Amino acid sequence: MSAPLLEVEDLAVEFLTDHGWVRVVDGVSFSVGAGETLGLVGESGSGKTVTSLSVMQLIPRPPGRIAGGSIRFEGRELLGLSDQELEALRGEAIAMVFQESMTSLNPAFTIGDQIGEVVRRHRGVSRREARVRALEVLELVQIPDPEARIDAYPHEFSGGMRQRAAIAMALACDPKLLIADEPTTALDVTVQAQVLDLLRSLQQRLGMGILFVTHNLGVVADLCDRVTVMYAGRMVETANVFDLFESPQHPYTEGLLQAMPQLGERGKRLAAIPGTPPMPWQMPDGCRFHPRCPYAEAACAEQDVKLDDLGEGRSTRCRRHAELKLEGAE
Amino acid sequence: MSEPNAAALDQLGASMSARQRFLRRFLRQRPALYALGFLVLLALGAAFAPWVAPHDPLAQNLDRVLEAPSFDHFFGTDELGRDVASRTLFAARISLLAAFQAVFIALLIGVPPGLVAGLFGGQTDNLIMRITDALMSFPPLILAVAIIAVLGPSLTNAMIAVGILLSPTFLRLMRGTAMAVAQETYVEAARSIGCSQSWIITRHILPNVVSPLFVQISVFAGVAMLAEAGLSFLGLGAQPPDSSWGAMVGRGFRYISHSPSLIVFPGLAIAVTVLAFYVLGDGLRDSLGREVRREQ
Amino acid sequence: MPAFILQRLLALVPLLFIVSLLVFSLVLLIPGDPAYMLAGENATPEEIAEIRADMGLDDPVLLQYARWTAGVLRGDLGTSLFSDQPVLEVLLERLPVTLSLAFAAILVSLLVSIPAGVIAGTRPGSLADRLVTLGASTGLAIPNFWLGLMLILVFAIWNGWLPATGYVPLTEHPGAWLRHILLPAITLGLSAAAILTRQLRGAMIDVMNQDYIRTARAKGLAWRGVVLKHGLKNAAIPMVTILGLQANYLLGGTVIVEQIFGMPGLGQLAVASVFTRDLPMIQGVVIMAVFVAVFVNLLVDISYGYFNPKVRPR
Repeated sequence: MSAPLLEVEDLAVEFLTDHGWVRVVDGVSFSVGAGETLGLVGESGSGKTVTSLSVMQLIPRPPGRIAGGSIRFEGRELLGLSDQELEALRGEAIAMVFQESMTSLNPAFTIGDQIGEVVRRHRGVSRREARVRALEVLELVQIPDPEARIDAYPHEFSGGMRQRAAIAMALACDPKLLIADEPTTALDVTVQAQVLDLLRSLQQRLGMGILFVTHNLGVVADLCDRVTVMYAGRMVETANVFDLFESPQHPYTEGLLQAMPQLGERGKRLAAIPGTPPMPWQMPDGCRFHPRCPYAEAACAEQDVKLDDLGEGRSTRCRRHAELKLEGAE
Repeated sequence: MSEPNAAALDQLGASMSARQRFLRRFLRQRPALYALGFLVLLALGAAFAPWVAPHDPLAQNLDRVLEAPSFDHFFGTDELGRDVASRTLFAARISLLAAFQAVFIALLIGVPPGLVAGLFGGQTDNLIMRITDALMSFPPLILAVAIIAVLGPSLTNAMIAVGILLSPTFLRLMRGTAMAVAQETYVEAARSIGCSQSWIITRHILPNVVSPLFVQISVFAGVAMLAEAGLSFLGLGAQPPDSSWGAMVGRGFRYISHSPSLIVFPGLAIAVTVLAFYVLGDGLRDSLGREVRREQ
Repeated sequence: MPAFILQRLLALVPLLFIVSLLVFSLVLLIPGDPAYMLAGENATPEEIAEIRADMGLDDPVLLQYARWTAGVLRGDLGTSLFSDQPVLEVLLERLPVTLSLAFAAILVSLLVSIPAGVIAGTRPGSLADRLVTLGASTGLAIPNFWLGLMLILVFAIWNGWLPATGYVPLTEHPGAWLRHILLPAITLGLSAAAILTRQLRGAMIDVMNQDYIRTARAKGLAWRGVVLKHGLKNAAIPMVTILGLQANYLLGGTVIVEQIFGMPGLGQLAVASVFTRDLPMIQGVVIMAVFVAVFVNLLVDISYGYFNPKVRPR
């Protein structure tokens, strides 16, 4: 395992809502090594996006706040840095790609301008040099005819091209860590595969760490080295991708795997997890998953479940993991 | 924390009629309630001016002209020694009436063609909208001045001019609602089984348009009052012996260096009243359902 | 781009046609015999007959309209009934005054509304926001003639810093022009500023919640840069539309402001012509005003393409 690039420890994030300060991310810890891809998986509302935004401290404040924990990048504590220090890191050492390329690119500026802007901000180069770099990265993400496309506006690009441009923008300053928040979710399946291929090959060439946020386990299997599964604001399981798929140690992970459509298994019913995730202001006592868990016992509802370290980078938050024999996927 | 309350109330509102929901939401709009209260008081004060006013607004006292505000004369006296406070109160009658007169004329001119354009569509709609666009391409006050030039300066003519200026907004509002309603399946169905236009208008269009119309009326009462004040200030509106707030400021202009109170108080009266109309309009708008608000 | 402008110009033809009908029909709206009204109460029957003949009032209405339109197209707006000068000559003499007032007022409104709208729109609910919102509502409610008089009172009469009335052409003495135009421009510009501020505040709140603002932050841009570059350009789109509408109101507002500050512009001419019943002059002012308004709106349309690349013709 490579030395950790990003270490998140016991992160807690709260939002001010009608129900007062509500903890939407609670005690989340993970790390991403250089050249490694960590998948952060969960349903919408599980806190995975808030977690990824917290690394860059981009959660909207107000109403959000980071209530505790530690976020270290190359050993340096990021929480408590000044705005200027954070801005120097954003887009330079840590870059981000968002889900909706239609809305995450500014409609009023050309692609080239928006890429060049990052370069000028962090490298202090001239407009012309920034343009040269923008052309380079557009080529890097395999946008055909970049000379012609660089002066186009986002609305003149297709969805896949826009997402490539967004990736180019993120890569413009050679970041050490790329945070990708569901970058392929809004795309067609074929385009999705192309963008994933691109990310994988870029990672091999550039050696950056990737924090990949998704709800799609198929994508995780495709791209990630290790996986952290989140449920209702907490991490429920961490494992390397093979172990996780082969022998999940948390019923929620099992449920996600069962709900995943697989090739060659026509006719087998997809098992949906019954019920819906709880609202952050009415978290159940005990294990947060117990109301939906097929293996729940009375005790699951009573005491808080600690994260259990299983060694070799595996951990789970299920008090019955040892006795249960959970089903994996191929 | 008023929001969970609001949510609960809205939930409760699901079982109430639209009008009850509107009323309930409106009663929560504190600034709008104050504005409404002020306007009601003002209207009462104007209506009962002869009993409420401290002095006869026409009584001259040439020994006491252009006086500063005093205990005797709260707002001072004018160039003929008349009590400015009483004159301001009496002028409220003209200013308020004129504003509503203009809005009424605007409704009269705007609503029927708006309905026609929205219901019939096609060439009729096209023609009506072309004329409306042309009307809106005139700088408003200049058009008003031109209309007054033709009809002759008088308060009624000025309000006709202002009414014409305001009518396109009502026209567009009616047209939009009528078009939206006419496309609803149940209205098409109603039409296909032979229900008359007037049935569709009274049963489907009017109920939909009444609330946004009231919002617009409130805001336009303020706009009309400003326009009336401006025209009367120029001498194109209220003619002596009638006096509106704008006309008072116009007359006071001549004595601005001796007696600023002559223009300060009627001007403040206009500003506060117009503000009250706007705030009331905002409150009404916010009390409409979310759906309606988005269309605005 | 020229094709786009040409297309916009062509679209104006039907509009201007209807405008011309409306302006022409002003004569028809005169209650009773227009010639009688135009000649004044003490006119002899001969004078009235002469005016009828002059104005061609005995011809069919359509012919009158055709003659009038042909004249307008040739730049012949008739002759003033009051001063016997050609209407167009008088208008062109006064147009620069009104234009410089209107443009100065637009400048004032932008100088006020952009900072106010940005400050309020980026911190909704803050004290600054509430002050700006209150100020904008008040600005909408204050009659601009009254604001003008208050400004005269404070800055001309009490302090004597600025002249209360008059106008000096820019070409003659820029300093004096500025001193004379300042109070009228503030008077006229503030009500537009109030509307623009409300508009910009709303647009800014909307824009600052967009994903691309978060992207810009993720790029390491400082808050200020994000607001001024990424926020403002997008928020400007609805504001430009409102500015176009405001240009109309500003032109209308010159009627009152020119009167207060004794500026020899089109607005003052319009009011004076009402009292002298100089109908050709009124018609001329209206046509000129519509012409300016249409031109300003054309400029707005064109600038729209700069802010919103989606509508830019390719």
